[in-house]
Amino acid sequence: MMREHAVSDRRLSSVTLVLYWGTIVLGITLPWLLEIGVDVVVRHRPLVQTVRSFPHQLFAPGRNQFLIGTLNAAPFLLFAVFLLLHLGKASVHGRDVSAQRLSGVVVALVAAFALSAYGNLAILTAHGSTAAIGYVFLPQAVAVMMVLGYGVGRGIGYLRRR
Amino acid sequence: MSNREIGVHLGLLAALVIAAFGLYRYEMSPLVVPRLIRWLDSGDAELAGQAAERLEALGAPAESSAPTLARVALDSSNASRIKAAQALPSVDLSAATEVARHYRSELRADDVDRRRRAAEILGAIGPVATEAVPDLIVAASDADAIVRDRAIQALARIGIPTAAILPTLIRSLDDAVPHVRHAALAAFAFDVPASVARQAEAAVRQHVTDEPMNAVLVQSILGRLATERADITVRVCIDLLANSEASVRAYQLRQLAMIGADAASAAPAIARRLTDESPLNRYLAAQALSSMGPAATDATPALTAALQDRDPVVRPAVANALRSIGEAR
Repeated sequence: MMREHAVSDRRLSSVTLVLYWGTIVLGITLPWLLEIGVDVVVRHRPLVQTVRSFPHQLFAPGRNQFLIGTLNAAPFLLFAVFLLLHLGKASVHGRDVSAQRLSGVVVALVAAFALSAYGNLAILTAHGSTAAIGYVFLPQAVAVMMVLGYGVGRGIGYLRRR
Repeated sequence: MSNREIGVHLGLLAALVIAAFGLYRYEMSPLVVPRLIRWLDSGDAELAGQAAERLEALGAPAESSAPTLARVALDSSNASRIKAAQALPSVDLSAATEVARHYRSELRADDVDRRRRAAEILGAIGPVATEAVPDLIVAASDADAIVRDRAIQALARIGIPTAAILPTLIRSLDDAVPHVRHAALAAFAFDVPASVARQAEAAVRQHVTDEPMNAVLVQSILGRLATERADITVRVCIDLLANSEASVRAYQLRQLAMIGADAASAAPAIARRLTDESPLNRYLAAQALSSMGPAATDATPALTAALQDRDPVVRPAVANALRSIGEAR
């Protein structure tokens, strides 16, 4: 029983770290990956050329991919800190609480990344340049989605454990 | 997870954030100028264009890039010459003036392509190319419609002296070629302040039934004239003269220079810009005060001090402003 519990703890720790670093890395790079994807699929630019020229766009005026990545990452970085503290110490509250918390965090992340991807794609494929204002508001919408997603995920976790 | 484990991962994230901040500060600093100069010479038009834009944003601290920017701007076969010409005034006024002088003479070339290129580059240089205004006014009557189009665009972007430019813009509203009329209408829609554009209202109204692309601009101009109040425009310009972005301050100074004596309430705020860190803004401040004439008399002490400016292009502009104020006394 003790060994089983220890294995479960280790697994939760590993999952927590994967979620933590995954959230950070994908939070920063999601707009970059989508920009490259849109360039290749919609604008029909060669993949190799697009990937090679991308680093030059990180600080280019009018492109500012570094700032876009940073803005996009802001809610994800905060959520990563939350999930590390929230899941990192979950095991002391027992398996039910751990499972509910994990469910909340996963649903929150899925919902937040889905909204972030949708928002970024909408901005990238918009015809007017004023669509870029969306980069300012998208992180706020993503943060709200995280809270909602967490609530829904906790609810799902609770119902599954009943 | 133990507290130590959590602390290590939080520490790593903090280190990542600090490294990202450091990288941003480095990329926005003049330390990247040598790399951007290499990009200008790379032969890759997109990369060179990005380099020119970043050098423009860096401004005077990127002065070491001026010879390369000037070389690119003067190279008629270089696809990045327009962006290089746009960047030059922010980076080095002297180099921008030299390039403007070259293209001013090119406006008189027999070859139509050279005249077209010259008008386009002079527009990219903007208000620093004021010396070329008389030649651009002549070019606005060129036999070639593209030269006329580009000359009008250049005059709109240079903007000063407004009194010399405005009659040409109004005359071009009646050009026989639609895209030339479009260039003139676009000048009144986007470049010329509403209080100045009001002088062209009657001429603009005659184009309400022009081709659709022109009629849209006419509606836009008439909308501006109906809603924009000169005193509010001047007040907004004064507020924005304190903006931390040099390019924002430059735009306001150019607008105020085009408004002239009607913007006299802005003279003290403009006089403070005579010590701006950007030589382009000091030059534009002198031009703005010059355009106000006697209304800028209170700025005389600041202008007198600015006669010692370290930039050789700013000093004559300051002397000219003092003459402009003095002539009316």
